[in-house]
Order: sequence, then structure tokens, then C-alpha cells
Amino acid sequence: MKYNYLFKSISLSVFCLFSSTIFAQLNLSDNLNNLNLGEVHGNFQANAQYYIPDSSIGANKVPEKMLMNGFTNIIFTKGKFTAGVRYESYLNALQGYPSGYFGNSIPYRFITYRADELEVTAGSFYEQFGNGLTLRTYEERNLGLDNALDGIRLKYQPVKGIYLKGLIGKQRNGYISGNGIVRGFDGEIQFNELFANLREKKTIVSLGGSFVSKYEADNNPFYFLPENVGNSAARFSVIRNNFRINGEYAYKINDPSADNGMIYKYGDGMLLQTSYAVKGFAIILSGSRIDNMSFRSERSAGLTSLLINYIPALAKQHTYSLLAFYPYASQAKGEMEFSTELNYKIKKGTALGGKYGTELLFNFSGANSLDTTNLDPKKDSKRLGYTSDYILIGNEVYFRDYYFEMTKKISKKWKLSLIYSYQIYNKGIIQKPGYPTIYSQIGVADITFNFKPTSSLRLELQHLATQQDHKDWAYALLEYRINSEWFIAAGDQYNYANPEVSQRFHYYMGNIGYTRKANSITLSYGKQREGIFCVGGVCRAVPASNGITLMVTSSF
Amino acid sequence: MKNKNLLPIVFFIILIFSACDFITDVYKPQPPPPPPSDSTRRVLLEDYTGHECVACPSAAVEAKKLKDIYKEGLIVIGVHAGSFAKPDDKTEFKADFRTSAGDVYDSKSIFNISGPNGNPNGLINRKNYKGGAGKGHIFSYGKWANEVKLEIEKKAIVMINIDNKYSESDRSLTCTVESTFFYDTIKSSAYNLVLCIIEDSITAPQLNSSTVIQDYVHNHVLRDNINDTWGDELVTKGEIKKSEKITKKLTYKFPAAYPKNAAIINQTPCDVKNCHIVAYIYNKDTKEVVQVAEEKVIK
Repeated sequence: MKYNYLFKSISLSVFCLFSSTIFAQLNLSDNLNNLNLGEVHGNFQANAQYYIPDSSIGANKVPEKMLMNGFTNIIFTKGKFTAGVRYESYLNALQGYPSGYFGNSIPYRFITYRADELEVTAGSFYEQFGNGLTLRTYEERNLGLDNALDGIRLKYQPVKGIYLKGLIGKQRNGYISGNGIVRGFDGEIQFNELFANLREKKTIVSLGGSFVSKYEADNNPFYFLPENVGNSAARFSVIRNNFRINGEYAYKINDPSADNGMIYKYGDGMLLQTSYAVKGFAIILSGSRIDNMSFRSERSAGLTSLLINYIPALAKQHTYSLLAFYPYASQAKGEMEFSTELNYKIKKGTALGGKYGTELLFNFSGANSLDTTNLDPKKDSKRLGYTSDYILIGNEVYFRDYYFEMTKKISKKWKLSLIYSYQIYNKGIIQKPGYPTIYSQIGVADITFNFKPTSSLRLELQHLATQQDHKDWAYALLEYRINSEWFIAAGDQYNYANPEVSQRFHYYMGNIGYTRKANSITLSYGKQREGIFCVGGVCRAVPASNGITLMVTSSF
Repeated sequence: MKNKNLLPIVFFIILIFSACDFITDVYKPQPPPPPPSDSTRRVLLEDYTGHECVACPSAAVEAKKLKDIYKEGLIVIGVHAGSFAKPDDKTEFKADFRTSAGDVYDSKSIFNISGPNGNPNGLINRKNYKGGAGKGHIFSYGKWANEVKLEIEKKAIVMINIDNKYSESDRSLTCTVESTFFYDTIKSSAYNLVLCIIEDSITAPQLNSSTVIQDYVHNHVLRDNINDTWGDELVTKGEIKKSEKITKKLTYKFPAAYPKNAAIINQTPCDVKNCHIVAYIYNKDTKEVVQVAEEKVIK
């Protein structure tokens, strides 16, 4: 009972604080825009959580009781000139968030000027070359990942069809910059734009190449370390009608680091993707081979810090909670990954298609180890570590997902999705050695009843069956969208088959949300289990928690 | 081509020619470091580790390498703490090498190491600590070599001598620690002295990459703090004068196994002949260790 008063008072005070901030920003924005002094846009988000200790699920006591992550972006644009800042506030950072984020700061600020074919950015920026094998700086707030570059970037188009980018900067690591300096160049030729006689052709071809070099001083008393490490890549893309194929190969020179145990072996990565789509049918095939491709601007960095490149995730990205229970994390140290996806729509008016048609989706994705041979450390004077075969696939299965989904609109009111997935998850490789491989079967039923276009009731039923780890789980969620502004939801994740009866916890969660125009407020109460959270193959550990969460977002 | 087009092209060309360093000779020749004298600032490296931490053996190898170079100039303590250090009775990782002091140091409200950052990670003389803000005080093992080198080149402000008297009959130790400052201190209570026990040559399973080493030898494992987590004030009143000797005498009784009050399945025997006393003095305000010394319990 003693928490009830606290919940109410904290929720109310945080709500008032955020609401007043939003409206103050909106007024400022409107005034500037009306005076024709340029345009101001931006957004705001705050995520505050009040923690209740719960030793049974491993939710630790939080001395501050309440923690908050918040930020606001403010972008000013006038003509060819754009400038922006992002104010960030971690008072203190939410549980499980990387410790580099604390206090208040303006870590992101930039100015951009566009003059004809040249664009200059000074300050902070995000960038990606090709598929990211040589460079991808981005922000993924839920992971606590922000590897923005701080420096200078030029984008240049000397003639139509040729696109050049050059950059130099230091990477963001929490509230400080990493020690390394990143230099990069990317060029792309769009042949159908460059040559007038190709403009009307059906086949669209482009070629690209990138080179990224990082500098970090060699202060190691034992090893001669490469201070400048280059990573280069070439890519192509061909599109003809409904067919598309693209690929990229990257090669990185010797780059001893904490990730690879300070070995001097080169790294390389190859990615090939192809797709074909016509009305009612689509197929996508993807494959990659990654070998020693971790590339960070500090050799000793770990987790999600100071990543310069990105290993594309091919495994299907799931949103349903039990489907995403065992998410695959890309293995930059080495993997062979593949994905096949087939979409087919059974036509309406047929026996199986019914009145509205039926959508089917098959996905088969997975990853294995490389076929490697360790070198004898006594004879390995160059510290190359191991050799790997290019063609052969390693015997160790890292991940498999055999996925089938059927979505059907039954009537104007009813819609149904049914999903079955069989997953193999090598927890010993993906999370921590010593754990067994987990074989799980997951079933999901998602049923929606529309009262009217803006009002619906949705029921999610999920079940995960496995003989390993914590055994079977069940999950149910009921979501009522009252109108276009309000929704209310309640769910429970229940580990009902845990072999230890005392560990059969309910992780219940209730949400109420309000969205009006560009503002949204969500209040949640419940428990979150300890686990792994991944976005695009990059993951972080999430600690167990119990408490009340308030999230406010706004854009203007 | 217009002249204004030249500038970005030049910029791009410079980027293309950013150097790549291909390394052929990997190992640097090792000049012997000067032997430490009384006035040398010795360095405390706290290696936060755990038996289920896959990269921790690599960090231990790095610590050993540094120890081989700096010898008694570097003192290493293996602090087993965090989720990787938890004992698991269902697996081979039954041993509990955690200590109450180590848990406090590792906790969110103090050095906040394993929780958000994982293991292995280290503290070098506990420098750069800003009262819980940031992680500038936490060094991954790739940074240890450089940070140790920087610290060992600093001047010492105090010297520590340890004298151990061990009685085998009742496994008791009388430890006398003599501290001599080279400068007057402004405020005497600014410094605390901590005495702790570390033990070498404990054989117990350890994860290493994806394999389990059943007979892994754990060295310099923090076993217990003799005078609690944060030690005692060096002097309780007045100022410390230059060259003044401050003597502390503490007694301790070695248990048959550690942790003292744990279940037998989680205990590992204590072999006193493999034990050392580590004494360090730290600044209470900054938590920075200003001097450290190590002495075997049985010479």
C-alpha cells in the first residue's frame, strides 16, 4: 500500500514536468516559424522508471528509486543551412544502460551547408557506407548504442550519377570520444544516371567502393600494434524489373584487439542478397560469410562501444516476445549466415483464399561456425591465431529459425495471424559458454476484432516449448484500442513449466497510452524478466526489473 | 572542371591514402625496467574477474605479463565479483571466490564495474574515479600495460613496509605495517590503510572462450580483507609529518577454507603458504591508491 501514494505522486509530477516542457517547445517553434527566420523542428522523449526491488526475479534495489533517460533534438533549417543539437539527460541512467551515459550534456551538435553539388557537415553525424561492412555509425537508443562521428563530412556529386563521400572524426563513447580517429571515403557510380543512353534501360546497375582507416596510437609495451588499420570494400547492385541482386566484399588488414584475442590475422566479410517479387509472390535469398570482422576505433573496446562497422543481420527479426526470446546476435568474430524468405498470397475467391485472400510467409534462416584450424601458438610467431576455409561451413550450429506465418482477414471485423517457429539457439556461443543449445517451438495466435476503423480489440496468445533453459513459457496480451487517441493493454508472461516450482514467475505488465497529434504518453506497470535484447543482430543484456514506467514522446 | 570542384577531390584523395600499417614483427624487445626502490610508486592492478567469464583468462595472461616485467613494482589482486563469479552448484563452477569487500567495490554505488561493463575489467590504482560518474576509472585489459607504465613513472608520496609473523599452531598472523610519508600531509584523516589477503595456486574450473579448463590455476585471488572493506584511517587526529613512521599492528586468523561461512560445496581450502598480505594506502576523497606493498605470509 505504501507504494500507491508514491506511484501517484511521482507519475503526476513527472507528467506535469514533461507536459510543460513540450508545450514550451511547441510555442517557441511556432513563433520562429511564423517570423520566417527559418524553421525549427525536433522531438523529445523521456523514459522514467520507478523501481521496486524484487529479489525473487533478481530485480535489484535501486538507490535512487527512480531513474530517467531523456533527450530532445532541435533542428534549425533556413535555406541551404541546417543546424541541430541534441540535449541528453540521464538522471541516472535506467538499469542495464551502459555506464558511459550519466548526467546532462549536449553530446550531439552539427551544422550542415549545401552548396550546389557539395554538402559540408561539421560536428556530429551518422553515416553508412554500402551495407555497413566498413562503416556504419548510428543510434539505437534501446541498446544504449550511439557511435556517432564527431568531425567533418563532405558529400560531393561531381557529375550526375557519381556520388562521393569523405569523412574524418572521432566516435562517441557515452559522454566522451574514443581515442581513435576514423577516416573514410565512399564512392558510388549509378551507371543509368551517368550515361544518357542508359537512362531508359530496364537494367539498373551501380558499383561502389569504400575505404575506412582508423588511427590509434600504439602504447603497448609488448606488441608492435598497427596504428593505422584499413578496411576496404567493393559492392554492386543490379536491378531488372522484379529481380534484384546486390553484394559486397570487405577486407580488413591486421587489427589485433580485445575482440579477437590480439591476433594479427586479416578479416574479411562477404554479403550476397537477391530477391524476386511479383504480385502475390516474393522470394528473398541472402547469405554472408564473416571472418574476424570486428572493427572498433579502440582496440580494447567491448560490448556495443565504438563499433565502426556493422555486421548485417540476416536472421528474421521478431517482434512477438516469445519469438524474440532467444534472439540471434551477429558474430563478428566469424560465422556463415543465411536466410530464405518466401511470401505468397493465396488469391481471394479461392477455397483457401476466401473472400479477402490469405497471406503466407515462410522463412528459413540460420548461422553456423566457420571451418577453422587453430595454429600452434609455439609456431605462430606472427600471432595469426587460426586459418579458415572459404567454402566449407563449420560444424557448429549457432542458430536456426524455421518460421511459418499465415495472415488472414476473415471479415471486415476479424483478422487473424497464426505463426509457428522452430528455433535452435546455441546459447553457449551467443551468450555465454557452458550453456546447452536450446531447441524451442513457438506458436503465436494474433486475433484482432475491429469495432470501427479507430477502435479494436486485439488478443495475442503465445507459447514457447523447450526442454532446456527455463522450460516452457506462455504469454497472453489483450489490447483495447478505445479510439485513435487512447489504448489500454494488459499482458502476462508465465514460466509455468520451470522445473523449480518456486521459480515459476509471472511477468505481468499493464499499459495505458494516449496519443494526440505528435504527442504520446504511455504509462506501464509490471515486471520485466532478465534477458537479452537485440536490434539488428546487436544485443545487450537487460536486467530484471519491477516497477512503473512513464514514457513521453513528442515531435514538433 | 570548375576550380571549386578541386577542393573536395583533394580531400577525398588524402583520405584514400590514409595509411595502413602491415605488421611483420609482432613482439617488441623488452628492456628490463629499473628495480623498484623504497621511493618508487608501486602500482595496484585490481583484475575484476569470474570463473564463468570467457575472456578473463586472457586478462590474467596480460596481468602475468605485466607482473613479469615490473615484478614487485606491480601488485595484482584478482577480485572475483559480478554475475560471472557466482557459484553454480549444478555445474563445475561451484567454488565461490567472491568476498564481501569485492562485492562492495564492484557494486553500482561504488566502482560499478561488472554490472554494466562485464568482466574482465580492471582498476589501476583506482585512479580517475569520479564518485560513480562515468567509467573513466575502468580499464579493459588492453589498456592495462599503458596505464601501469604511466602510474609507475609517478613519484611516490609514501613508503610501506610489511612485517608478517605467522604462527602455524593456531594459523594466526600478526602483521605490522610501517608507513612513512615523504611529504607533510595537510589533513591526516585523508588516507586509509587497507590490509587484505590474496592467495596463489588455487586449482578450480575456469571458462576460457568456449571451453572449460578444469584444472585452471587461479592466482592472486582476493580472499579476505583483514581490516574491513575500506580499512582504517592512518592516523585519527593531527597531521602526518614528513618522515614520520606510522605503525599499525593487526592480527588475523586464517580459516581452513574460504569463504568462511559458505556451504562446504562452495568452499576452497586455504593454503597459507600460498598467501600474501597486500597493504595499500588510498586517498579517502578520491579513492586513489597512493602506495601499495605485498609480502608473503610465510617467507
